[in-house]
Formats: sequence, C-alpha cells, structure tokens
Amino acid sequence: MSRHPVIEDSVMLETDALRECIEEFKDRVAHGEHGMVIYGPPKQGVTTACRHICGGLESAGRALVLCAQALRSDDLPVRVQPDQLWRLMLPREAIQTGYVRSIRDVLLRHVEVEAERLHTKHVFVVIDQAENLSLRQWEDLKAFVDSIRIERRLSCFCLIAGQSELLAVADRMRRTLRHTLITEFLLGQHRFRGVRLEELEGVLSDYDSLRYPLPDGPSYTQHFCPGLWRRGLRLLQLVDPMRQRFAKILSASGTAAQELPIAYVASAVRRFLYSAEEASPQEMVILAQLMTRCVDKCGLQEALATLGNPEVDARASRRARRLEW
Amino acid sequence: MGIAGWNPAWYRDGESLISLALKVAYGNSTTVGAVLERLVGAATSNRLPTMFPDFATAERVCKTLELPAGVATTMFVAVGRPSLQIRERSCLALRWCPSCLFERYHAWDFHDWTHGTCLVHGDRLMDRCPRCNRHVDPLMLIGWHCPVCSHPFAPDLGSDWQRTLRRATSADRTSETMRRCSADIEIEQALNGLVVSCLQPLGRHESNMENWVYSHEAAAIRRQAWEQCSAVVDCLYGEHQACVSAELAAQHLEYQVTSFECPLGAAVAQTLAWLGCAHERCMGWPDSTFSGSNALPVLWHAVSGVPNWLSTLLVREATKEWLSDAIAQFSSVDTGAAPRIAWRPPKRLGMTWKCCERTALVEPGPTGRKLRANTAIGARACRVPGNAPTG
Repeated sequence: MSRHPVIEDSVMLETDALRECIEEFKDRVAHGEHGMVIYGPPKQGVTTACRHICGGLESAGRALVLCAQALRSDDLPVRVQPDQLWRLMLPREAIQTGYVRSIRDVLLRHVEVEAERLHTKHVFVVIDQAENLSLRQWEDLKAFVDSIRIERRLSCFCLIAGQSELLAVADRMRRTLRHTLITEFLLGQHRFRGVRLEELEGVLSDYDSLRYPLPDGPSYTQHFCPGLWRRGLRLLQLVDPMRQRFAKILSASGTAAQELPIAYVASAVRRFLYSAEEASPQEMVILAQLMTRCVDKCGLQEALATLGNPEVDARASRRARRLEW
Repeated sequence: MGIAGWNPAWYRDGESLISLALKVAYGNSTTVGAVLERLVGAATSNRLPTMFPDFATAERVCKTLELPAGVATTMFVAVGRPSLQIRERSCLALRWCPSCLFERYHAWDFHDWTHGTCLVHGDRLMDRCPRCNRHVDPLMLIGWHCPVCSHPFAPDLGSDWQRTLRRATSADRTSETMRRCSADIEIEQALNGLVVSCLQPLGRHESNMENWVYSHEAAAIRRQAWEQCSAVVDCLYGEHQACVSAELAAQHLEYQVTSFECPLGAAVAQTLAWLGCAHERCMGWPDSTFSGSNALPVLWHAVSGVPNWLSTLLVREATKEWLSDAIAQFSSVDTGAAPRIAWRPPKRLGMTWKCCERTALVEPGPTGRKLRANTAIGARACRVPGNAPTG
C-alpha cells in the first residue's frame, strides 16, 4: 500500500491541541519570556508539536534554532556523555572531524556565525525528550544558555519538551537544591493535551479534506479508498461509532483519562482506510462495524492498561518520595 | 548543501582556498586539513586538489561556500589537470606575506616560487616558520599559527572576530594590479621556454633580486627538490602516482633496493631518499629527514657559486635530471628476473649556465623531453597489477 504524503512528517494534522500549544508558544515569545515546557503522555504528539514549531521557526529564517532529541545518558558510553547534547545540536553540515576545541565551544562558535549570517539576535534552544537529561546535562545547558545570553549578547529562548516524567524532574532538582535550574528551564509548563471525544469530528474532517499536493492532490481518504470516495464515503460519516467505541475504552480503563492520544486515533483511521477499500462493503452498518473493530485494534486499550496515567504516576512518585523522606 | 561555520561575507577578492579554509576552520574550531578534506578531498598524501581541483570539485566548492562560480579562478591556481610547466611553479608548502596574513589574507600568487616579494606590500615572502624554521604544511594549520611550534603568524582575532574577518583589507589586491606590478613576467617567459633565460632585473625588483629565491642551505634545496618531484609525479605519472607509496624498499637507502614493482615509483622514492626525505604519497614532507647518508651535498655543490636567485631554478632542473636518470636506470633492469638495482645520483649535471653579475645564461639541456620519454618507458615496465600494460 503506497503511503500518502500526509502520513509523512512534511504534512501534519493541525489539531486543536497543537493550535493551543503554538498559540501559547507565540504568546510567551512575544512577551519576552525565556522558556516554555511542553509535556504530555506518550503518543500524545509532543515530539510532533516540537518539530512543527522548529520547522516554523526555521522556515521563517528570522531566528537560529538549535534542536536536539536527548538520549538517556546511561544508554551512552561514558566518554561521549558530556558532549552528546552538543553533538546533537550541531548541524549536519558541521565538520565532524579534526576538532581542536570542545564540542560545546564549537557549537557556541557556530551560534555566533549563524546568528551573524541570519542577522538575528534570537536563538531558540529546543530540547525534546528532555526527561532523559541528567542533572549534569541540565547544568551544562544552563552554562551554555548563559554563554549565549551574556557573552554573545543574544536572546535565548529554551523550549523544553518531554513526556510526563518531566514533572518528576523538577522535584529531583528541588531535592538537590538546583533551584536555578527549575526557574531557568521548568517554569511555564504547558500540558499538551490529547484529542477530546467531541473533537473527533474535526480530526476526521481534516482527513477528508487535507490534500497533498496542494491544491488539487487527492485527500487522505480519497488516496486510500478511491472507490468508496467516488460513492460518497467520507470519514466524517463514521464519527459516531468511532466516538462511542473510544468512549467505552476510556471508561473501561479506570484511569480517569478523558483524552485520546492522537497517535491512536491516527492508527484507527489508518487501519480503517487500509482495509475498507478491499472489503468494499455496500452498507454503512458494515463500515461502522469495521471502524469499531479498527478502534479496538488501535492499541489504546493495551496502552491504558499497561501505562495507566503517566502524569498521576509522576506526581505520585513525588508524594511517595516525600513520605519516604 | 552548505557548510556550517562559514559566512560568505568573509570572502575577499583573490583569496586562495587555504585562506578561506582557515576562516572556515576557525568558524568550526577545527583544523584546516579537516576543512580541505571536506571541501576538495585533500589529504596529507595528496594536496594537489587544494590547488588544481577538477571542474566538478571547483564548482561544488563555490556552491558549498555560497560564492559565485567565477571565484574559482582565484580560489585555485587553476582548474583541471595542470601541465608540468604550471604545476612546477606552485609550491605545496605554505608561502605567505606577513603583512597580508596579518590581515587574514593569502593568495596563490605567493606560492609561485618566481615571486620573491609581495607585490602589494613589498615584503619578502616567508616560507618557513620564523621560530622553528620548519616548512609549514597548510593542511596542518590550526588557526593562523605554526602547526609545529604554535608561533602566531597573525595576532589573535579577539572577541569581535567576525568583524575582523569581514573587514576589507587596506591594500588593493585586484589581480590586475598584481599582474601589472609583476616584473616576474620576464622570468616566467624564460622558464616557459626552458631554453635560454636572460634574467634582467626590472624596476622595483632590482633591490629584491637577492630575495627572489632561497639561500643555499640544505633545507631550501631539499624543499625545492621535493616540490619538483611532487610536480613531476602529479603531472607525468598518471595512474602510476599510487605506485610511489607502494615502493617501500626504495624509500630507504640503507635497505638497498632489492625489488620493485614500478620503475616510476621506485625512481622517485630513491631520488627523494638520496635527498633525505620522502614523497608526499608516502606521507613525506621536506622537513621529514631520514638518518643516514644522502646526496644532498652533491646537489649543493652543483648549485654553489651561483647567485641566490638562480639556485632555485638550478636545483629544480637538477632534480628533474636526477629523476630522469633514475627512471631510465630502473626501467632498464630486466623485469624477467627479480630486479635488483641500487641507483646512485649522477655526479655531474647535464645543464650548463653562465652568470654575469645580475644576468644568467641557463641551458638546462633536454631534461624535460628526456624526462617525458623516460617516464613513458618506465610506465610500460610497471608490474603493479592494474597498472601494468596489457598485451
């Protein structure tokens, strides 16, 4: 089955959650804030939101963007741990051989050169999966940001993104008396929410209308189900069975979750579109049953049963630690 | 795809690739070698692409550095495969004008050994570190410092380094100015003919005549011989360039030569071994001296008694003569049996010259033609798999 470009990273569905996140980001930047934290449970779309924001900043070309996806330091060899974050932020075009100074200094020089080239004074440091950073890396990051602001006289906005574990990071910093790090990086939290049940209509409508390439390319639904599309099928018509099934799964999980991670919605839609054309049913009832089955198989049930509520876990562990103390 | 740590605004008219690479290296906190390897694929065993890249590479470099394609004419000595006459005039080791380098400027004109002084500042061109007295390998440069002793060739850039790199130089360095000022045209024409050169000092060059070339010291002679051998290998050896590094036995005099595969490779390795150094393909450099006896005094005596400005030409011609002789000797060995030969440099040189104060009459003899003919014979006798002639 060929892939519709909408699935690729180049194009993405703009959900309400994403719009809210971008609005808050713009608001913080416009008001001269120094940073923002975006967090959310797995599959909620935090990384995608991060990439979307970075892409927007880079395409505007009015600011220098340094992106990195942090890796767990215990997964790395000891000798590469200190420099790992800086290596990830270096652009692909950077010369990776023959270094005569530390990677951090190389990156700082790169910041100087690129800021001059772009005629900008604004630098955005974007760290995704920041829950993987060790305390030492947070401190290194603080020193790096200070160098940009004080020595290079550039404004630096830190966008920290990660999963709900980030909530526990602040607690860890507080216990080790790294209050400066909290004020520098972990204030201004924005919870990246999932799709609410009442928003499913908008999401399915987007799948029906999003075309690639613009403006005359096929829509996502049309690409996978051309026959059904000709007969007038639209995903929007199947919103009720989908919503009912998702609601049932959420209530059965016992986690008090009210939102759907976008990845599971996308998975259910993809499953449906991949098989609907081959089944080629004539009746809407059969299609609704197919959609229900696809929702069952999208993995949400299993994820909720296994993960529970990561946010509650992150906060609960903090309470547990307090009790222990 | 561009390159990080580089701003096209740092470019100045007439700058060489070395000069640009120094700036890119500074922007990336890396060595010039790493930059040149990325840009043109240069390595310590092959520095030629820094001066004479192919057309595609030159175009790619201009694109990578976001400079107009026309810049390639000054960024490189020439684009495409050079002739021996052009190649042998350009030195691989760094030559620079101290005043120009002070302004972070370097041009390939400085690498032409027939230029003794900077045509803008009138300063004597430097070819060795003033502190450690070693020849400077451009690929080893770390900033504007000597790669061996870290002696600064220019002051530190300081915190406002980008402005310093952007600032235009004080001197007018358009290529037209350089050419017009050059009285070296006289010597250039003479060398191109390689028959008789009548060197007449002209205008401002009269006072600098003694500075045109080098003193008679061993390091300078070795350097000129090394540069000449590199030029011959680059221009005449073709696919046999790789044979040079394969002739391990010929690179060391104390081993004698017990066997060799390619007469061309063995000849150049032996010639340079007798001069106390190794070829670039064997990671050699004019300063990389070997212990043991060598024939440097022979060459020294050959050029002694001539004015300084003539010695470079004579050393280079003598080197060609030695190389030609070595190729002929190695090629003449019967390749059927295990070839054994221990070549000795000829005691007498074929060329003649006559000096009269500031004028010289040089008759190099048929070295060039003989060298080409011997190279062709040597290439046919090569037994390296893949390079050996078929049929």
